Amino acid sequence: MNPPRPALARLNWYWPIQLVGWHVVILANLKFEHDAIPRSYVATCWLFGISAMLLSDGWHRVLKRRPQWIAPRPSWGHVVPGLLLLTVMQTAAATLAFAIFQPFGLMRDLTWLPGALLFWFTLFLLWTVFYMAVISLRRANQFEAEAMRLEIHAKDAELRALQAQVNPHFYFNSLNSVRALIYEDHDAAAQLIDQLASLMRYTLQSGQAETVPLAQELEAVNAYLTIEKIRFEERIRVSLHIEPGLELVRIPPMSLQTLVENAVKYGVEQSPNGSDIRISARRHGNMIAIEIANVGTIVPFSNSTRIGLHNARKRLQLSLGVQASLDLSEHSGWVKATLTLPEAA
Amino acid sequence: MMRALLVDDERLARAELRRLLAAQPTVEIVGEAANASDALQQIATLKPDLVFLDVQMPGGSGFDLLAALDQAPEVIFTTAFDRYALQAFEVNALDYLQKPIQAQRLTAALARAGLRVAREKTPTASGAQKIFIKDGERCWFVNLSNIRLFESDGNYTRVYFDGYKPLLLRSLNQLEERLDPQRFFRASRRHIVNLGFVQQVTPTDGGGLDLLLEDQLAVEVSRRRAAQFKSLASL
Repeated sequence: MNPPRPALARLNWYWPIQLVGWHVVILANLKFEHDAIPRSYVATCWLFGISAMLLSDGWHRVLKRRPQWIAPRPSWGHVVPGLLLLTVMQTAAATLAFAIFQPFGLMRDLTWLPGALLFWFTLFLLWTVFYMAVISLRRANQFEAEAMRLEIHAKDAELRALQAQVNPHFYFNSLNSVRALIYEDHDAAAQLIDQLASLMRYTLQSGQAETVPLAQELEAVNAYLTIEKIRFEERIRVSLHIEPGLELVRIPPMSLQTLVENAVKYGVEQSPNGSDIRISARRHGNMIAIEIANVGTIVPFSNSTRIGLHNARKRLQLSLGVQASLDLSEHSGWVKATLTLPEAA
Repeated sequence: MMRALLVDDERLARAELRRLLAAQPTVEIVGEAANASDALQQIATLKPDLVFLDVQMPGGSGFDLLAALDQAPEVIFTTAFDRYALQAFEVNALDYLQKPIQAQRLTAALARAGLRVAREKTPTASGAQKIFIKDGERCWFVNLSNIRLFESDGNYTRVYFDGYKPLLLRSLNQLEERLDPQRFFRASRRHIVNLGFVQQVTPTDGGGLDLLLEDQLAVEVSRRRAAQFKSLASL
C-alpha cells in the first residue's frame, strides 16, 4: 500500500555528488594557476583528486558502519580524529603526486605544509557536515513516513472495529420482536431468528476482508431489511434495482449495510407513515454508483452522524482509493446516499 | 386497578407488552397509541393513571411528548437501547424498562407505580401533581410541591427546584391558569411563588412586600398584589 517513491528519491545520489564535488575541487585548483597550465600539474591535481575521492569513500564506509557517530547527535570526539587521519593521509597522497609529476620542480622546504593540512582538513570537514545533513534529513523523512504508516494502520483497525460493532438498539428491538412472534406465529419467529443469525455472522466477520462482492453485502442487507419489515410492517417498503453484471463489484464490507441502516433510522423510524427504501446500483461510464434513498430531509447533523459519515468515507478510500466517494444529498423530499466507485477494482 | 395506556410505534412491541400485562392483576389497559400526536389525544381523553411510553417514536421522542403535557401522568418508559436516553434517566431516576421486558422487572415497576398512583388518588394529597421538564438534553419529573419559584424569561419560564433551575417552554400566564392559587401566588408580572417556601416577609417603602425564600431567593411583591398576599397568608 506504500505509495511509490518519486524517481528523484529512488536515484542513488552518492556517486554523482562525489564525482561532481571532487571535480569542483580539482578545477578550482587548476583555475588557481591562471596562466598556461603545465600538463604535469593537471595530472597532479587529478591524482590527488582521485585519492581524496577514494579516502572520502572509505570514510563513508566507516560512517555507515558506525551510524551512532552521526545520529541522533554528531559525536565530534570520534569524527574529528577520523578527519585528522584523513587529512594526514590525503596530504601525504598529494605530496606524493607532486613528487611524482613535479609540476613546479622539486620541493625544497615545508612552508606549504600547514596550508595544505588546513585545506584538506576543511574539505573533509565540509564533506562530513554535508553528509550528516543529508542523513538527518533522510531520517526525518523516514520518521514521518513511519509515523504516517502507523497512524493509517491504527485508523484502519479502529474503523474496522467500529464497523463490526453490533447496533445494540437494532438487536434489542429485534429480540423484542422475536419474543412477541413466538406467541403470535412460530414460523415467522423461527425465520426471524435465522435472519438475525446470518446478519450477526456477517457483521462479526466483516473485519476480516478488505472488500466483498456486492452480491454478498446485498445478502446481509436483505436479511436486515427482512427483520425490519417484521418490526415496522407496512411502514417500510423496499425496492431493489441492481444493473446486471454488477454483482461482483467489490465494496468494503458493511459499507452498504451501514447506509441502509441509516436510511431506516431516519426514513422509517422517525415517520409514522414510514418510507420507501430504494437501493440501486448503476454504471456511469467507468464508475459505479450505488444509491440508497429514503423519504425525508437531512437533519442537522449530530456529532455522531458527522463522525459516522467521515469514517465511512475514510474507510472507502482506504480500501478503494481516492476515486471512491460517498455523498449525501437531499432532493424533492428524498435523502440519497451515493457510493461512487471506480469500475476496475 | 391502574388504568394504563400503551404508547409504542411498533405493533409487535405493543402486542408483547399487552401479553405481559395480561398476567398483572393490578393493571387494566385502556388504550394504545402508535405515535406522539395519537398519544397526546388519548392521554387527554382517557386520562390514564399510567402510561407505558417508548422513548424513540416517530414525530417526537417520549420526552417531547411528556414535555408537551400540562400535567404528567405516571410514566414507565420502555426502550431497547438508547444510550442518550439512558443518560437522562440516570439524572432523574425515572422508571424505565428495557426491551425485551422481563416479567419480574415489570412487576417491580408496577408495584412502585401503584404506590404513587394510590398516593395521588387520596383526596388529601393534592400536592402529588407532577410536571415533566425537558431542557436541552436533560429531563426532570418534578412534584409541584418541590418547586419554589417560577420566573418569567421571555417565552420561557425558569423553574427553581432542588438544586436545578431549568427552562420550561411555557409562559407564566399559561402556568398560572393551572396552578393551585392557594399554594402558588402570582407575586408580580415576572414571578409565581410557592407559598410553602416563603420564610420571611418584609414590607417595602412603596407599599409592596419583599418575600425571602429558602436559598436566599428574594421576590418582590407589587403593591397591587400585596393585599392579595396578606389575605392569603392570613388564612
